[in-house]
Amino acid sequence: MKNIKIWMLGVSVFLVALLSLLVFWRVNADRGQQLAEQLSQSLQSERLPLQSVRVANQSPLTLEITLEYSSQDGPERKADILRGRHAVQWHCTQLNREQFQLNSYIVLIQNPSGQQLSWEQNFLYPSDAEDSPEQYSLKLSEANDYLREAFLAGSARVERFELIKEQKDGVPVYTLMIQMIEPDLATLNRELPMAQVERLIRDVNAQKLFPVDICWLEIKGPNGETWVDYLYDYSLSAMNWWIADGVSTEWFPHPAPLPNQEPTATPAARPYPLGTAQPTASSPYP
Amino acid sequence: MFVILLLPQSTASSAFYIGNSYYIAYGGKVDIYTPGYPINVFNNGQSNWISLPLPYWIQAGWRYYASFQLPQKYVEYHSPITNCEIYHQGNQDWGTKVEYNIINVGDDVWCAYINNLGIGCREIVYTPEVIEVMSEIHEDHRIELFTQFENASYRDSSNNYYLFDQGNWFEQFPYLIAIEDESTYLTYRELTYQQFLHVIFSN
Repeated sequence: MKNIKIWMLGVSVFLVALLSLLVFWRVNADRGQQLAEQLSQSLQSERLPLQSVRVANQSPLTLEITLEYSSQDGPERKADILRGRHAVQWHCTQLNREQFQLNSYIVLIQNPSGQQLSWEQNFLYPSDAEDSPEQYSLKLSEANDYLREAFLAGSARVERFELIKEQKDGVPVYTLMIQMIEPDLATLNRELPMAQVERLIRDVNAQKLFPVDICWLEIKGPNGETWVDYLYDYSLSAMNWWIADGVSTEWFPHPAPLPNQEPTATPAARPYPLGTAQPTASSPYP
Repeated sequence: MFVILLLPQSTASSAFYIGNSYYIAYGGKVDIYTPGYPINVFNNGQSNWISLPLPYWIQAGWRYYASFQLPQKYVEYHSPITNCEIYHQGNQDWGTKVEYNIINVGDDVWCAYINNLGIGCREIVYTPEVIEVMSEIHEDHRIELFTQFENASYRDSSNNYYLFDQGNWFEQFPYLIAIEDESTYLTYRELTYQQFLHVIFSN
């Protein structure tokens, strides 16, 4: 009799655990599906060439977003992909704004015949809770004037310089649009106007002048060909860009050239340089 | 005045690289320190990283530019379709160490990790590849440098890590390397009087 009671108790515990697991799995599945639908709506509102948004993994939750672009490579497609991927990044990050829900997302880019052009995955982590809304000292038009004065266009002709306000997912987003024409590639490589964007947007935010979220810089050549297409997102702390052949690469980190693929001679052993501070309290060198 | 004239006169459109590489592997990792105090990067900047080589790469490390309050951890990708991207991952305070890791997870897909946290993955290049662990000075030879690399390691196809045992050194004047071994070294800028002596003796 006692054995039967123990056996029944064990079965009950097992059934309760199984039921809890099923409920947990069902809730997770529903939550993942809801987020996929929410993201799909957000991306459609951006008029992206969206093919699908699906749950790739329930736990940890991973969404897979498929975008479709033309087969033919060129500046227009590069620009479209740059904006499309940024929109996906922005909206995926927004899904976690109020509550951490999405652990990672996969972006697939395919051509119209369904051939996969690229695959990527990005991981997300809980961010620090935001403080109360920041106070900024400039109005939109004042910020526009301030930025216009601070931005050094050099010899380039500025076609558009405008700080605009948009609503995305019910959130105001301030984007600085800069379009320029630089007739001379050598001048562009000497003046590198794109190198100052990150500092400009950081400073205007850090000094609490105005909350500029995004800067989109386009630089075209004399015949309208795109030389630089650059997007800096302060809220994501990220930048995406592409540059035409011949445009300087010196303004961003890139690997060292490997001229001969051969090991070089070992530099002479040197002691730690005198007169220079050590990076840590304990030096690994004598 | 004489010393100033002997320094490189122009470094426009050039970067300085200082560090080591490993030929060839399925990934790599390294501990990269920031200097113990703020360095002067004048109006430019520097980055210190582990990376795949040109033309397409994944790179992880810290970068410090004139507009930064502190060095920033980052991951950079350059792939054929998604082009160039940099994602900052918060500050790396002065005098601290962070582990940066890039690994191939199959086919041409490479992933970046910072202190064992996955950041992102891209289709870059098929394995095996060269792994570079270096300091990069952007354009201005006056920029100070003092970066220690420790435990620079390569990864084999079975996911085992081994310390670098090759000396494929990169060194560009006036930046030098103090070597403990192939996996542990310090990159730094030669002091002005040392540059003076260097030029005198090399002539």
